[in-house]
Amino acid sequence: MTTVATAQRWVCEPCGMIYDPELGDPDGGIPPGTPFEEIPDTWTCPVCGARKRDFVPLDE
Amino acid sequence: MATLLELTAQGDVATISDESHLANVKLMTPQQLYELWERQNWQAHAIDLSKDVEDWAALPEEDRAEMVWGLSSFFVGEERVTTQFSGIVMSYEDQSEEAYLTTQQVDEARHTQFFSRFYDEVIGTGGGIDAQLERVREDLNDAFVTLFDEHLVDACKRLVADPADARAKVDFVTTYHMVIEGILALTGQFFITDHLEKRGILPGFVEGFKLISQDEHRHVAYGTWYLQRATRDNPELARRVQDKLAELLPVAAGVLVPKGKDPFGEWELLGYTSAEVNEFAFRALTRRLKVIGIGLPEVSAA
Repeated sequence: MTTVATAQRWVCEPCGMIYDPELGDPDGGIPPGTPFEEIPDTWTCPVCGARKRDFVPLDE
Repeated sequence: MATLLELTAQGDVATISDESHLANVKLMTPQQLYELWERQNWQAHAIDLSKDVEDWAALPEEDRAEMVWGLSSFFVGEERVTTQFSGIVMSYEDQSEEAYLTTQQVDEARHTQFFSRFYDEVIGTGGGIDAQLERVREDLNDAFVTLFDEHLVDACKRLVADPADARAKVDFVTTYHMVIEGILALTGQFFITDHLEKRGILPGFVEGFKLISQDEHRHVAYGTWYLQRATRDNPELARRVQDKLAELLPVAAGVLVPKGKDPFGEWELLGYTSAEVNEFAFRALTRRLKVIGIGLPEVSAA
């Protein structure tokens, strides 16, 4: 169950940027391997500045 | 406490890491952004502000003054960016970009309409948009006037004179999408929205402001796409982005400082410290530049 949650990629609705937990967002203070659910609510999209709540699970 | 300018002068500590993947982010094209605009359309005159009238009347005078300072910059800013957008619409390079750019100008006009409504119906400053703007301009600081009435206007004029001038277009997108929207507007929107949501007040304004933010995110995505494409194989244009940022960041750092506060000292607005605000703005800039593929400009904090 944990593995599934960790692998889930999320997409930013306003700009299409994809958050991949395997890569994280080191420039945004998110280490590689961080599941989306564990990112702080104050984190924002590196491309367009949208908030975490503006991301939706990527349907793959 | 470091100002936005000092943070930029110090450089980005994250650049010592090779973990960044931002240069590989796939960006939406103008055609995709246009289609997204159709799906995300909204109406500034359909938002219910009735509860906001009650909330505003109950706010302490000090809170109202802080809100008015922040909102005045947005109100005048939206008018400025609507008026000064015509040059880049003329600079389209294909039909998809033309379609997208026209939507952005409509967005900015809609934002101005929303602020006009809020000032009229909630704050009590009426008389029509022109009269409102004249009154609201009294709240702006000098850096705001320099950036929006001088730098932005000059950048637009150069594009109007020659819409095919790639250097003028890079200067405009850097001024508008990177500095005004990407650094200033998104930073202000983040903290004002956060503040109001935590207090649970002004729900109509929050609804409209979040929709405005949604539009701004699309705009910044376009600017990031354009600059990445324009500079990828063109070191001269990449250098031009850095030079324009170096020119504008000292001014932009001043725009973030509430009127009457020391730009080199610590200040607080709506419960957030200058350190929090500057760090947010700086991080947004550095990450976006990495997506574009260029480094921070060299600026002096002096």
